[in-house]
Amino acid sequence: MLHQFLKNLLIRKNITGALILASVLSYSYAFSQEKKSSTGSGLYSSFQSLIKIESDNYFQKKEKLKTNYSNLSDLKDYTSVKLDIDFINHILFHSPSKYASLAANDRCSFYDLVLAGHIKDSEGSIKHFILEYETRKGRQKLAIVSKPIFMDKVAFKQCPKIKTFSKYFNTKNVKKTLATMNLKVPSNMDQCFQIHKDFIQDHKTPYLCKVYEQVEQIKPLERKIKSTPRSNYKRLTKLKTDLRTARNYKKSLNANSYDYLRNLCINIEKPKRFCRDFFDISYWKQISQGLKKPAPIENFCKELLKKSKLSKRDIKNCARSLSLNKEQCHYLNKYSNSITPKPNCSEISRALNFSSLKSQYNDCTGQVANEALVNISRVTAHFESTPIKEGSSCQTLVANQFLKMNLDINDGKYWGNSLCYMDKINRKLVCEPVLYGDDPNSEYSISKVVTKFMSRTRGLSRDQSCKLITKSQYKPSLLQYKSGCWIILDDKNCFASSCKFKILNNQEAVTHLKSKTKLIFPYFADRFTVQSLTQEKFIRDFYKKKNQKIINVSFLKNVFKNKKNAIIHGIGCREDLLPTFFQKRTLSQCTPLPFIVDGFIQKDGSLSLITRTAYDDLHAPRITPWSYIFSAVKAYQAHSPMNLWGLYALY
Amino acid sequence: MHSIRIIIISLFSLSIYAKTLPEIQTKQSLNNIRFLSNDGKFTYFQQNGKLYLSTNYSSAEILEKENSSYFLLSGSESRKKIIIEEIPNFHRELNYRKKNIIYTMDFGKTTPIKVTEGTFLSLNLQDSWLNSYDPQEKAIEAKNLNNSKTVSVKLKNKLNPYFIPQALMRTQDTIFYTDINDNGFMGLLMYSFYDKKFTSVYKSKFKAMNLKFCQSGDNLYVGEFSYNGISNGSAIFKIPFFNNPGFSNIEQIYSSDLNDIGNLLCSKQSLYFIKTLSEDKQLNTKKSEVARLDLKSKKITIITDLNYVTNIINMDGNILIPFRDKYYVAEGKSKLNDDKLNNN
Repeated sequence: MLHQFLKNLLIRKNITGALILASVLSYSYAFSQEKKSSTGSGLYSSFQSLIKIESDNYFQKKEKLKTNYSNLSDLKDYTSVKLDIDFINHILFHSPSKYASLAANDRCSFYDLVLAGHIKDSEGSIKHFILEYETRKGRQKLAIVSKPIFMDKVAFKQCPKIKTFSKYFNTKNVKKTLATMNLKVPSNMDQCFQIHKDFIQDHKTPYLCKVYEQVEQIKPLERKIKSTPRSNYKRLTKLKTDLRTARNYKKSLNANSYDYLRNLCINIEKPKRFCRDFFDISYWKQISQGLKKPAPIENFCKELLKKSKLSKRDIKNCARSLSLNKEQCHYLNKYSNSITPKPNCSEISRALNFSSLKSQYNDCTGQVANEALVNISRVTAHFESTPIKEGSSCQTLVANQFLKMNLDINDGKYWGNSLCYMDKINRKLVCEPVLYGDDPNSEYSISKVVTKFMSRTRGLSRDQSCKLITKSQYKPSLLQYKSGCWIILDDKNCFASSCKFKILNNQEAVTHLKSKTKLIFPYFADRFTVQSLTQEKFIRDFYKKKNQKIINVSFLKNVFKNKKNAIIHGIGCREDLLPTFFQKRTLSQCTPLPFIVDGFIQKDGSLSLITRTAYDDLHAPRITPWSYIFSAVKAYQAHSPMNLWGLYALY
Repeated sequence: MHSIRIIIISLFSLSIYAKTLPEIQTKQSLNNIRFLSNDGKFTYFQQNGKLYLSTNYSSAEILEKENSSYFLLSGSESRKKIIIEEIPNFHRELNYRKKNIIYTMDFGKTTPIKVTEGTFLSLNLQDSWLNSYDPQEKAIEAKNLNNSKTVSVKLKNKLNPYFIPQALMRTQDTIFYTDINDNGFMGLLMYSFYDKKFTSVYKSKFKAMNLKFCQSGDNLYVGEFSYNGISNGSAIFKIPFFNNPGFSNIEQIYSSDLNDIGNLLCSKQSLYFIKTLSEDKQLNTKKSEVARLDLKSKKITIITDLNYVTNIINMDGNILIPFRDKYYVAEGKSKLNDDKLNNN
């Protein structure tokens, strides 16, 4: 019987040929023990020859037996039945190789595979068998037998339990059956391998995978229905029936069970991969299970689901979607306005698994339009004792992080964005720092500063205030805008670093308040005289942190190993840091780009770093080779007037 | 539909030449040099905020700006003009929307004239037209350097605020440039300033691919490369400028399943690009070298053995490979520090 045949193949290791071929075609499980291979040389020609031999033998035999259909009424004894060898080879070629291991337990397990629809011939699900048996008259007979007759008169006789068993998984009963089953989640690797082994030996597994495969068919069936002309009524009816069945199966599974079965059925012959899914767990999955906070996924999900507020269910659905379709993350950029294409979702997930930057908020690099500001706000947010509160526009949140520290350390000398008016009594220009947006935690929010200045200069009463709106929101025809003080930001030209806006008081343009814009400051020392006036020094002083120059990978690994909460920040040339995005075109070309490193991945002695450049989405870190970081920092060093090696750990 | 003829680049046509290339030798410290003529006669260099030309045992000041300014110099095959980009507050104002100040100057001369602001893209048509990019308006500006006539084309790209297009002019009415559509497909387009019409020259086959192009002779060469972390392989196409209505004649001259860094450069006889020889997708690491594709034989030769090459530049006809703090010479003269008095 087939299971014995399969066992023999495995024991004699003749299956190697099949495995190689399977790796070529990814689905075919091919081997012909009896047939000589062709004279062609090389794997590919051998494979072609094998297919041809198998196909010729099978179809020749089938043609010969065309008139020899049997209902097995002359069968002497069901134990004498043997499957024809060409038939076996044929189904081995056409059945998914991953299920082969499920057939090796006993003869009944092969029948389970047949009943679950995993055994296929060249035309799809198997509909008949070619077999040899002894007739009542004692004659050996080769005949074609339909699947129901074979199952009834041979399979169900040999394995009586499979008949009732298969019924548990038909569309009527599947929901009840699955409700009684417990899909075990392993707590360690050994346990996981045991679970996988149990599944291989479990007669239910082929049926469980049938459920998964039915659900997988929904989209292809929908596509086929769409592309099938109405005139092809017969085919359309069949497709619709299949779709209905598939949808019924889907109803029997919840999302977690589906993910579990997907992992099992894809990796039925790959226990390591099956287990990796539990322990090298996707970051998105961890969010959906409530193990990680949802901030990294929020901007992706708002855009993906076209919602401004997300429920727990939305987060769960979105997390699943990002896990299943990794290409989606490239251009989900509406809210973060960062460099695209971002890495794919699985790379982002992998990087986030190794990342240590505290980032339970969202920023938007393109809207800030100052890369040093972006990096400094990210570094400082990491060292805040309480998490950053959102509530303002994301660029204002970034700017406020910078301004807060700079005001404390050097009176905001480097924050050159200010609003001014002429104090006519004292004959001097009065200026105050301003943020181009509102932040509930800052008195330098534009509406607060404008209100303060308007009360001083235009007698705005205490109960009056100037309100912030964007140009696209402002509708002058509406009554509410006919009076009062309005600050209208030109949203297309408003960044944290510079902003176009106008102020209207009772519909009249306010011209006596002047805006100054200047954000020029050293990140690292670019002159000996400013060594104590750099943002790097401010961060150390304000957050009471130490620094350490990172000159090689040993230093880097030690920092992450020994210093809790450590991150690394630096500046490198973008052409070396992101060479697929930015190309050098002339000598000594370098565009300085700040970045943060907050983890690393190691493999076979090589090392890549979890990196967020100031162009990158805060929640889409890149896995960047150490060689790129090294070259970028080295190239920037060549342009530094102080020969500065711009890569420091902070802890 | 484009008919694409495919020439299969088999493994046999890839040869590893990879001898150690000569390093460039200059009179000045390389860190100070901003432009080197291919024969070493003219060296433009920067010291603090000043830009100088050094030639024939003398040096002359060209520009004097704040110490915080940084200069980038570029030329073209025509060697009539040199473009200077002044980047104010190089270390202290890191802002992708910042515009550089662009000057033009006769080749080998010392009198710059300010022409526009933005990022320099290319010099075209015997150096009579300059293309630059305005990162605030997201527009490519084409300026006639003889009569100051200016035309521009606005990019459609809304997906990547940091995108810098490539641009090239074949006539004073047409510009070829790269852009990204709303779905993330990059395209090479031709825009006619005269008819105000766009023509799609080549559209990337997959989302999130990077197109680089250059011209050699009467052909346009377009490289389609995967951004880091994206695995759609690499290809290079040849698109003739002439007798090619609708740019339907596109010939694939190279393809690879590996994700090359790309950075395509054209010279008269060859294409140069950064080819990936092996990659580890878990670590995102690539062994990448400079590949030379001979345009006649279509043979590809790997010419470096540096392992992690990412960039390649054309400096007045010399093909240079910047690597760590050195420059290797792939094509052209390497010894540019010859002090012989009769060195003409």
